[in-house]
Order: sequence, then structure tokens, then C-alpha cells
Amino acid sequence: MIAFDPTTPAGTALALLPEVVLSAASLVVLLVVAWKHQGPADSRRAGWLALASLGLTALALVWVAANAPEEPGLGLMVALDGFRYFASALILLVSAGSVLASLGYLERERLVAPEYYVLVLLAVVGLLFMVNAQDLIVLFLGLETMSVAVYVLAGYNRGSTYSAEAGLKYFLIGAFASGFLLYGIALVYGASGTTNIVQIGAQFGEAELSLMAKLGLGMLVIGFGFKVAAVPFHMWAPDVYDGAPTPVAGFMATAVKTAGFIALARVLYTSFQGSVLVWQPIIFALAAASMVLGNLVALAQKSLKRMLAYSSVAHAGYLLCALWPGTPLGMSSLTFYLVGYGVTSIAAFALLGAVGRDGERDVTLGDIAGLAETRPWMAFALSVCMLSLLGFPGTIGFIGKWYILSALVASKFPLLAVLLVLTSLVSAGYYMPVLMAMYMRPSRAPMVFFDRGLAGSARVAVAVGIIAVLALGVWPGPVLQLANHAAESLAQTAGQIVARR
Amino acid sequence: MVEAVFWFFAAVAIVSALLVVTMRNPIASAFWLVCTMLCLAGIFFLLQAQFIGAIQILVYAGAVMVLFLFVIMLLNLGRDDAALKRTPTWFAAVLLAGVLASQLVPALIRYSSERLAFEYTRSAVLADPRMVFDSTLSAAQATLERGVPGDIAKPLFEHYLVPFELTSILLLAAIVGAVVLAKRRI
Repeated sequence: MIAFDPTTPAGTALALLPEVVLSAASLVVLLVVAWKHQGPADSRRAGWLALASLGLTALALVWVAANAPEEPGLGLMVALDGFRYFASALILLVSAGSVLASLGYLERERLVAPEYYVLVLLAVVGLLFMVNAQDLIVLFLGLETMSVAVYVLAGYNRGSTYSAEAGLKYFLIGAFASGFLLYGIALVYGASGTTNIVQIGAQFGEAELSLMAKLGLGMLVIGFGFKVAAVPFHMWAPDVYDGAPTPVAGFMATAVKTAGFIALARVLYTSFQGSVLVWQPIIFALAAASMVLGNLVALAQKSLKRMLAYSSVAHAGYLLCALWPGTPLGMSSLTFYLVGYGVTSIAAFALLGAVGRDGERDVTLGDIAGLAETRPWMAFALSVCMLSLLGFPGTIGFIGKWYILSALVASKFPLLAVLLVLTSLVSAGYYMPVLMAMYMRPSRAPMVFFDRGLAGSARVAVAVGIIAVLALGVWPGPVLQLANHAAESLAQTAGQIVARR
Repeated sequence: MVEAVFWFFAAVAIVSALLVVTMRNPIASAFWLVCTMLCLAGIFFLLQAQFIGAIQILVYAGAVMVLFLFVIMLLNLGRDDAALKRTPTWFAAVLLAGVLASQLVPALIRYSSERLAFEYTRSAVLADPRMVFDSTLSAAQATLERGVPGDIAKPLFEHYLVPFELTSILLLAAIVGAVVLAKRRI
């Protein structure tokens, strides 16, 4: 055990070890790519290097989690709590999943440009900074680093106008959202005199928020609302998910959403923990609108990718429900649900990327009809994903929703819980047809899936995802414990503020 | 000595500013603009505003001018002398210069160093860098020793080191992204 002191410069570097390792690794990958960027083999090499970098970063994360001091002190730029480690580990996991899914996909779509993996790594650096930020400046810069990389990734398939549209749309909306976020940060800074998330909490306390602080809070929530695609800030999501390369859409739905929610939760629970009554109505409205609109509009979608996009809007609604109570229980249900949604979606998008055909971006129900006959394992995996997204018992989606419900009921506000259950029932209306098409309808064109199996690497990602969905669905204990621990560590930071006042 | 240096910079600045507007070739005028910026930076240094001087060179003489040159070269304005000489352009230029001069000349005549000192003391809370960054006596000493850049460097490289370094990663991501999007083929 080598405990370090994060108040010194060397200690700061050690506290940021995962981020430093990943940044350095992305530079190495960039250098390798600069020399070797000709054929598919070079692209594949860059992909494996990116995976190795993510693995190294995970090791560094474990080291920091084991050696960080218990009481790091207040006023730091980066947080050293279980909340950060949990979220970072989840982000690294789903990012590794999307890299694995990309390996085969990029080759099949003839997008052999190894810079892809450099951009993914840089986006992950930004995401890690988003979840470790204990200062609004770091939070904003992390968000921008991630956004810049993902704008390019969304428009990576330059041959396709839809991909270009996705990139441009995400860029314009993202710039708009960043403006809101930055304005919110400026107003909060003006009202509190500091950008440190913990010190803002100490400054505001339980007192009535000033108008400036309220405006700042509102703009922060709007900025995050865009990033996590909550209604009414979701308009970009279907077009962007549809046009972007499928593994990138998976990355956006899982890793980016995770970081957005974690950062939002940290700001709300730490900076504005004394003004729960101010932000609860906002979160309630966003959650209710996202669940209702996301699920209803998803019913009308023909393309599976657009359907998953609206389903991701609906899941943003469920996650906002978990955010609503403002209790450690709600927080731990949020982190647990993020795990469930992350592993399920990454597998679902990897599968969609495999059944998609080049030249035609829309995968419709007709295209997967009879998949169970030709590709029984793929059909089984996609069914498990759909059931988990639906919240079917035996899958992690069920445990996650049940946990959110218990947090809502515990805080004596059953209206959101009722909405959650009702809209989940509605969602069966678009998840079940996928299963029925695969198992009950005859295959229209048997040759479609002749060479459209999963690439070996994507198979690993899907297998890990499906095993996690099923295993955690019946035995969620260990991850639940970790989620509880993460939530408690965030509550501890908030407790420190109360003690300091 | 300082006065001689000032007159040198001032004279070169005015002459090169005149050359900026009279040169026929846009590239040449852009380079004379660089010369003007450098002379202005020199004057800032003479005024003990080292930070603004350095920023003037980095941002204006460096980044902004590179942008100018790119635009000029991309638009290929080199052959289009006649279009620049049309009367409406000259009329607008003279009008703008006249408005600016009518504001600037009376202000310069009325402004004395006494009045400047008076206004400075009135607004000391905002103008004094020591007040903005750190109010302790040691910080004031440090300002005297290291000048204004030192005062900016301390928070930038100590308290805000993490965001500062993160900015460089953000710029790297932007560069890689721009190159990828601009490549001829994927």
C-alpha cells in the first residue's frame, strides 16, 4: 500500500493515473497509426492496441481505488470516491465492448481508417474526466473532449450521406448543448464564487437559491438533458443513432449516457443537495416526458436502429426516475441500472451491426424474420437483449427496474413508479415483435444472413454481455453491493459538506 | 533609452500600418500587418504589460495571421486588384476611419496622465491584478518580483493544472478529428 496525497502535484498525477495512462496510450496508438495505416491488418492492430490500452487503464483504476486515501480533503479538481471508480470501470467495460464490435464492422463496411480507435480512446479519456470531475471546469472540458471525438465518429462513414447528417446534427446540437452547459456553469460560478462542485454545495447550503443560481441549475440540467437525450432535448438521437456507424451508436447509447448521468448526479447530489425541492420538479418533468414519449414513439418505428434510439430515450427517462428521490438508495439504483442498460445495449448494438447489410442502413423487422432458423445463437442473444431492455424477470433489466421502483416507493412518491410500470408495459409493444419476427415468421430471403454472422471479436463482446445480463439477472448481489458502496461514497462527500458548514 | 525604443516601435508600427492598406498584393499586406502587430507587442512590453505583449505575439501575430493567410490563399485574391479599388469600398473605409478618429483624437487630447492616475485609483478593485488573484501580502511581493505573467502563471500551473492539461487533450482530439474528416479517402 502506497497511499498518496492528492493535494500535492505528484499526488494529483497519481489520483489521475487511469486518465494519464489512457492519454499516453492513445498517443502511442496515434503514433503507430501514423506509420501503419494502409490495410485492414493495420486497422485491426490499432483496434487490439486500443483494447490493450483500455485494459491497462482498468489496472490503473484498480490501483487508484486500492491506494487512494480515505479522506482526500476538499477542494480538489478530481474526486476520489467509489462513485468515480464504479462509473469509470463501467465506461471502460462498455468502451471495450464497442471496440470489439467495431473490429469486424469497420472491415465489413470498408471503413479501414485506424484513426477510428484513436478517437475512441480520446473520447474515453473525456468520459473518464467527466465522471471524475470535482470541478465544473474539468467536467466541461471532459465533456468537450468526448464530444469532439464523438462528432467525428458519428460522421465517420463519409461515403454515406446519412452518416454525414448524423455527424453534423450531433455537432450542431452538441455545440448548442455545450453553450447551455457553459452558461449554466458561469451563472453557478457567479452565484457561488467557486467552480468546485463540493465547495458550491458548501456555499449554497440549505438556504433558498438565488435567482442566478436557479437559472444556472436549470441551464446545467438542459445541457445534460441534451447529452443524455432526455425529452424534450432528444430530437437528435434517432437521426444520429440511425446514421452513425452502429458500434458508435452503441458507444453513444452506453458510455456517453453513463458519463452524462454520473456527472449530472454528482452535480445535483453534491452542489445542489440542499435544494432538492428546486430540482426535483424539473427531473420529474423530464423523466415523465422521456418515458411516455420515448416509449410511445418507439412503437411507431420501423427501423430497428431508430427503435433502439427511442428506447434509449425511454431508458433515459427510467434513469431520471432513479435520480429523482435524491437518496443514496436512488443513487445506487441509478448506478446499477446503468450497468444493466450498458451491458444489454452494447450487445444489442453489436448484434444489429452484424445483421445490417451494407448499402442499406435500415434493418427492419422484415430483415430479421426467421433469424432463429439461420442463426439460432444470434436470435437467442437478441431475444435476451430485448427481454432485458423490457425488464423481463430473470434478466438484469428486471432487477434494475425493480430497484428503481423500490427507491421511488421508499421516498413516498408513487406517481413516477406508476408511470414507470405503465410505460414499461407499453414498451413490450415494440420489443416483443422483434422476438416474434425472429422465431415465428418465416425467413423471407434466406441468403441475407449467409455471410452476415458476427465477427469473432464481436462474438466475444456479445457473449460477455449476454452472460452478464443473465447472470446478474439471477444473482445481482456483488454488483448491487458495489453500486451501494458507490452511492454511499457520494453521500459521504455530501456529508462532509454538512459537517463543514 | 526607453523613449527612443518607443519612438522606434511607434514609427515602424505607423509606417507598416500604412503599407498594409496601400500594398497591392494581399499577401504582402498581411505580412506588413504581422510587422504592425509585433511593434504593438513591443509597445505593450514597454508599458510593463508583458502578458498582453506575449499574447499579442502568440495570438495576433501568430494564430490570427495564419488564419488570414489561409483565407487569402484559399480565396486566391492575388489577381483581383481592380475589385478592391472600387469607390464604395474606399468610401466605407474613409467613413469608418473618420468615425474612429473623431472618437480617438478628442479622447487623446483630453487625457492627461493625472486623469489616468485618478481613474486608476478609483477602480483599483478591478484593475489591480493582486486584488483579482490573491490578496495576501506575499502575493503582492511575488507580483512585484515576477511581474504580471508570474501572477497568471501561478494559478494556471498550480491550481488549474488539471484543466490546463486536459485542454491540450481536447485540442489533440480536435486536430485528429479534423484531419480524419478532411482526408481524401477513408
